[in-house]
Parts: sequence; C-alpha cells; structure tokens
Amino acid sequence: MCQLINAACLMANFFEIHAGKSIVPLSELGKIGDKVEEDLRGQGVVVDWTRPGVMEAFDLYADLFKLQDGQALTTGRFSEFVEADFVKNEFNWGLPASVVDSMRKTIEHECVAV
Amino acid sequence: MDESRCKLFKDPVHGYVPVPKQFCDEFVDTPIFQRLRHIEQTSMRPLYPGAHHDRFVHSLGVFHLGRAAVSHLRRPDGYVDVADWEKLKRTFEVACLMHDCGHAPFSHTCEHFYNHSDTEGARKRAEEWLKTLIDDLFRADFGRMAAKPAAHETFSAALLITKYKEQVGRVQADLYLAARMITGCRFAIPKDNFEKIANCLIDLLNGTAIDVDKLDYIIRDTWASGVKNTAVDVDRLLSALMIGIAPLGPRLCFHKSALSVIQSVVDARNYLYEWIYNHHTVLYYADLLDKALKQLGKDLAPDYDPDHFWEAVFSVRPFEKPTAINSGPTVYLPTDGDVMYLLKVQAENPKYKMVPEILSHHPERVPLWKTYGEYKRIIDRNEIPDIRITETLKAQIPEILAEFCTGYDKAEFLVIDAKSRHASIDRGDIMVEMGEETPVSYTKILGEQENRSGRFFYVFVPRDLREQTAELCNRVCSIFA
Repeated sequence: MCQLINAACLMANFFEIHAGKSIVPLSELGKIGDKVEEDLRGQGVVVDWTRPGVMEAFDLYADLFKLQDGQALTTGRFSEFVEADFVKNEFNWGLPASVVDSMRKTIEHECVAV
Repeated sequence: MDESRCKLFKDPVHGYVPVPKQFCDEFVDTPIFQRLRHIEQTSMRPLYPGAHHDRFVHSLGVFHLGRAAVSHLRRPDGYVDVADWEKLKRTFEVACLMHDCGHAPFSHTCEHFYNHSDTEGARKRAEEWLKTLIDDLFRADFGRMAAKPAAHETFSAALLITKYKEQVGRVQADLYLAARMITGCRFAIPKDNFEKIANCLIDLLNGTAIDVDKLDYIIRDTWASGVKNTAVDVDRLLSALMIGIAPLGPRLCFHKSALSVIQSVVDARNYLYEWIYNHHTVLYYADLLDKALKQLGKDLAPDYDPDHFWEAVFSVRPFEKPTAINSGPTVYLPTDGDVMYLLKVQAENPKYKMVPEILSHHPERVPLWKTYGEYKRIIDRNEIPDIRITETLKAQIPEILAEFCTGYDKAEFLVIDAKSRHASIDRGDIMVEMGEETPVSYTKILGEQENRSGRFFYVFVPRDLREQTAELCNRVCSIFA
C-alpha cells in the first residue's frame, strides 16, 4: 500500500527544518515534494501536493499556516507547536521512520528562493 | 458553428440550459459523457435521500454558467482580436462541458484511486498519463503549478485529449488549452496577449478563488440537499465579472457592486462544509466505501500485479473497452453501479463487514458527538489545549475504548477526521475592481475572516454502547488530558 505524505506534513517539516523562514512560495514546496517523491522512489511514497490537498492544509491548520499571494506563511503559534513535538506527533504520525528521515533530508538540502 | 440550433435541457437549478446541437453531437451524446448520469455528484446521499444529482447535470450547469460568464466579459481591447476572443470562448465552453468527463465512480470519495498504486514504485497513474500526452511547455507549466490538479481533473484532461481530439477540432476550439482549463494549469510565462487572457479563463473554470465550477456545485448541492443555505445571486455575480489590469497583466475580477454576493458565496461554501460535507453520516459512509474498495483492490489483484484492480477500474482501460477484473467480472465505462455490484458480490464475505452496512443503511456504529459544536464543548469543558490533540494520541482511542468496554475489539471503534478537501475558496485570491489603479484582494477590503473549520474528528463506537456516550467521551478526553 502506498504511503501518502500530505501537504500539511510537507509544509510543517519544511518550516520546522528551516526555522528561520516563515514564508515560502507554494510552487517551491511543490518542487520539494516532487524531489521527496523522487528520492523515495521504490518505497511506495507519494506526496499529495494537489490543490484540494493544499487548501485542506490551510483550512485544517488555519492556526499554524496562512496562504497569501501563492505563498505559505507560518503564524505566531507555529513555534509553540514545534516545541511541543507537534510535527512528529501530528504530521509525521503513521509514516515509517525511514520515509520521514528521507523526506527531512531532502527538505534540508533543497535551496529555496524566498 | 450554428448557435441557433440548440437542444434544451431542463435543469432544476438554472432552468432551461441551451446546448448547441453540434456540442450535443460531438460531446454530450457520447458514451463517456452519458456515463456521468450514473456518477453521483457528492457523497451526501446517505444523509439527504433527495440528493440524486449527478455529474451529468452538474457538467451542463457549469457549461451554462460558463457561457453566461463569458457573455458578460467584454473582449479586452488591445489584447485579443475578435477571432482569438471567439476561439478562447469556444475553448472555454468545451472545457466547462467536459471538465468532469473522467470523474470517478462516487466522485470525490473514490477519485484518489486514479492516482493510487499498491506497487513498491508507487506512481501517480493519472498524472503520469497526462504528462505523456502534452507538449514540453505544458509539461513544464504543469510542473511549476503552485499545487497540482485534483486526480479527477488530471484524468478528465487526459481523457479529453485522448478521446475527443477530432471533436474539439470540429468546433474550432483548442484541445490543449481546454486541457489547461480543466486542470487549472496557467501559462507560467505568457508569451503573448492571447495567453494572458487565456489565463483569466483558466481561473474562471478552475481557480483558487470563485469559479463557475464551484459556483454550480455550491448552488446545486444546496438545492439537492434541501437545506436553507445562504442564497447566491448568481446573475448579479456573473454580471459583475470583468478582466481588470493588475501589475502582472490582465486578471479576472469582480466589480465592487458584487461585494455582497461574493460574501454570500463564501458563506454558502462554509455552511456546506460545516454542516453537510462534514456531517458524521456522510463521513462514515464515505469511510466504509473507501475501506471496502481498498479491500477489493487487494483481493481482486493477482500477486504478480498489485495494481490490477486499480488499472481495471480506475484508469483509461475500462473507458476503451470492457475490461475483465482478474478473469472475473467485466467493467466498461465504470459508474457507481459497477462499483456497487462488485461490493454486493462480497456481501457475505466476512472480510467485507462494511458491505451489509452500506446496503442496509443501518450503521453498526454511532458517533460520540454529532457536530463541531458538541466536539468543541467537550474539548473546552475538559480544558484540552489544541496542542495536545495529535494523531499520535488519536490513534490510541480505539485501543483505550476497547480496553474499557469489555468484549469489544478495537476495530469496532473508528476515528474519522473532518475533511476540507473540496469547495475551498482562497478569499485572498478573489480580486475586486474598486475603481483604484489595480484590482484589490477581497481580504484587503474586508479583512481576514476567521475560518470556522480547523481540526475536528468524530469517534464512532458500536451502536449498543450508545447509552454510555458520556462515559466514553470522558475516556477519550482522558487520552489528551
């Protein structure tokens, strides 16, 4: 069965890893999602970076992320949630550790123009 | 094209919808389009028995609204000549009519199976298929999209390109531009004015703000359910539609006279989201259907081909010819009825306990709370902070409840998240012409409005525990405390 990395998971991991950034274009995150998929090819992983999936992330986690002019922003509460291990316990829950590790490595190494 | 010869379809929402005879001959009266009569529009039928509306009538409704919308748009002087404007409009009409031509059985509940794969090298099958059909520029723009299209949009675009190439040509429309409109794939770097204006029409069918697709299903789902939702004055809204000039070029926007109607569209969407699409009954049956199909996907695929079922039902193959599933039943132009047949065959199979529930409409489980309001009260009363409500803790709920209720298995308890996958509107992307130099974002005019959605889930427990809901709620809360 394929493993699904949802849009909120990709966003949350990005902002946790790049702690100094609070804004990123959605198109850049989409490219990172493609790279995550590519790096995990063979492990049955797909990233749901569809418009409904992305809009869902902003609706469900409106307290953590905002959408503005095609860019994702974090709210003031994001760091509080990160400190409470929310990324691990909410967004990465259910994903095998190897998948999370690979995704985070890819995110870490991707340069993003903001 | 002779526009004077039309077929009139009686639509309960928009009244008579005239469709030019040539459009009927080329598109409507074809097996692929007629298949949509048997694809239900939403998953809300278990809740509203009158909601028998389907993708066929929705497609006609989007075509109708699309034609009305472009008829209100003035040709942008200096951008496109009359011939190009006519071509753009014709292409837009084709895209509106065919935008859902490949929608999956049970619509959004099952569309994700178009991109589903059980092989180790999981592939997004619909996306891969479309990419083989389009040119380099389209593929590059597809890759640059801020977010990819939904699976059914990708599939519908690919189906249009594959099955309707000649027909689109005969009505003097642009096949690949129609596919861009269906997928919402704008020209990232428009090379000329034609492409700049084309981007406005792409947004008008499949944008992140208000488009004719969303407008139709907001109005239609409200009508079909019978709920008293906020009324949307669609004529007023469409008559306010215009192409404004923003710093980066032409942009679809609304005249300020439609501000109140824009607000009513946002309100109507929020109402449907909160009270209909996320109703516990709707989510419960959608979850049963999803589980049943995943089980079929496993059981009906031979070991050497884990994607056999998905390819046989959720791919182009059954659109081309009758396709046998593992030497068993055959599927052709798959509809809700075909999927229901496959499930009925399993009705007595103990692995498919969900099938008798679907067939009898007698749920084996009841929710501990039934609305977002009740959920919020329970959470607030127990002083549980948002930060504590995580998937990790939610995953413990079935086990903890099963331990507490002797004689029950954890599989009998279900946690289902409220979703927000469809009918989303980015209010910041709704542009309004306020008489200033450039159009202004709706949220800049009226400010950010707090969205009532947010995280929210239901817990379903066996029906015979319904007298103990208060106690079970306390147990659930103790997990987060």
